[in-house]
Amino acid sequence: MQKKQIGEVVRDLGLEGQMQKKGTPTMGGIIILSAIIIPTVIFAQLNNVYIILMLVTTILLGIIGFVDDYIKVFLKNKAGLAGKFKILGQVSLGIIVAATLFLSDDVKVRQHVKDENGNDLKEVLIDPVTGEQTVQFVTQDVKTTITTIPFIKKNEFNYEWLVAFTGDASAWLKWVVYAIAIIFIITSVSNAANLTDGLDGLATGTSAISGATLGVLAYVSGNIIYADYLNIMYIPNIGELTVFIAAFIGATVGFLWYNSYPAQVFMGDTGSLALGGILAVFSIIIRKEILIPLLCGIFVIENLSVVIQVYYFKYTKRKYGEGRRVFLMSPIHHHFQKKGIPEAKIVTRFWIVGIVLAVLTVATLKMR
Amino acid sequence: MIYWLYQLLSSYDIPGIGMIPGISFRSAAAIITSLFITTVF
Repeated sequence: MQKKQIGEVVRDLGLEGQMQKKGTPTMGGIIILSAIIIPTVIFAQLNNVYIILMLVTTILLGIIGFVDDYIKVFLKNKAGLAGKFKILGQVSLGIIVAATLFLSDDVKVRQHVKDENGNDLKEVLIDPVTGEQTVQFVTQDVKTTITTIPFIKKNEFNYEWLVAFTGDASAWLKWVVYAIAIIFIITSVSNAANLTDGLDGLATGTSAISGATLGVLAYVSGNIIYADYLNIMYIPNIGELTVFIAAFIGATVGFLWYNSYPAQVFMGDTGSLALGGILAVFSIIIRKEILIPLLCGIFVIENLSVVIQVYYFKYTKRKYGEGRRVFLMSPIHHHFQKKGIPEAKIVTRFWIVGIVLAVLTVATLKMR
Repeated sequence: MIYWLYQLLSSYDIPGIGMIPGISFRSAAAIITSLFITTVF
């Protein structure tokens, strides 16, 4: 990348050590994406709808990020790909994901069958050899818009509840609401990861932590014994996603080896857009998307800091005639940099917060 | 790919081939491969 002059273009924002990053190879996201796609193709079941969906996500967002980086690095246009095209790509991905979850017969959730009073039906099984009796719930695989919500009884939330007032129309309207939620989540998490990629190793490390947590959630959701023990939603065939997320963890940790402070390579938008999108789609597929604000808390904080900064600036400019700022600079990691905290310390502290949030996310399996 | 290979070879008595369908084995292999790709290339 250095030989081919694929170097980072740096704007002078007056941050400590910032200009030293000029010329550092970028577009390392290609390596991350290759390290996700190749092991997945080799080791995962390619006829699994969830694996196909994750590969489509990785490739689609990778292409959008690559085009953005290509315009910045090779065409020397600092603006990169116009925002509307990025959003268009993310919305298209959201539609693909929603359509697949709606149309594919392989996408189902196993649920308890209820009687007319709303109680779970049970059946008695008799072992033909020993004559031993066991009681178990009657289950069926259903296509549903149910997802996991933490801290409440049964841990379940159905998007249908949001449109229940529409009566019969809620049967199809719930899928529209679900699709809108999917598009919103993919767009916001993908862009948030892009914003977070401002310090050496920050987006990579945070993504690795979130990825590992999602891996645990996918494994237990796809294992009928653990799902039953933890009393969480069992999703048939979802366990296969553990192979994908393992490749994701390996790719991010391996890349972190070179991306940690002082970075020898940057992932660029090729990597950051895809990392965020992968985490978003993965959590949607395993029905844990409502946990994103907790699990990807760092991304959310980074995103919020930009939104608050921009809107407060506009508001004060309108009201007082001069724009005022909440943070010294946004995203928030630059605020801490402006305060004089060394880059490596900021990144390490963000990782610590990420780990704490990951532990809390896993704890939600039992907290209700 | 390796899963198809397993289906192809499962009728033969090859030592260790029974590990392939296991998610843990394939996840471990995926993590090692991705680490190898990112650190070497």
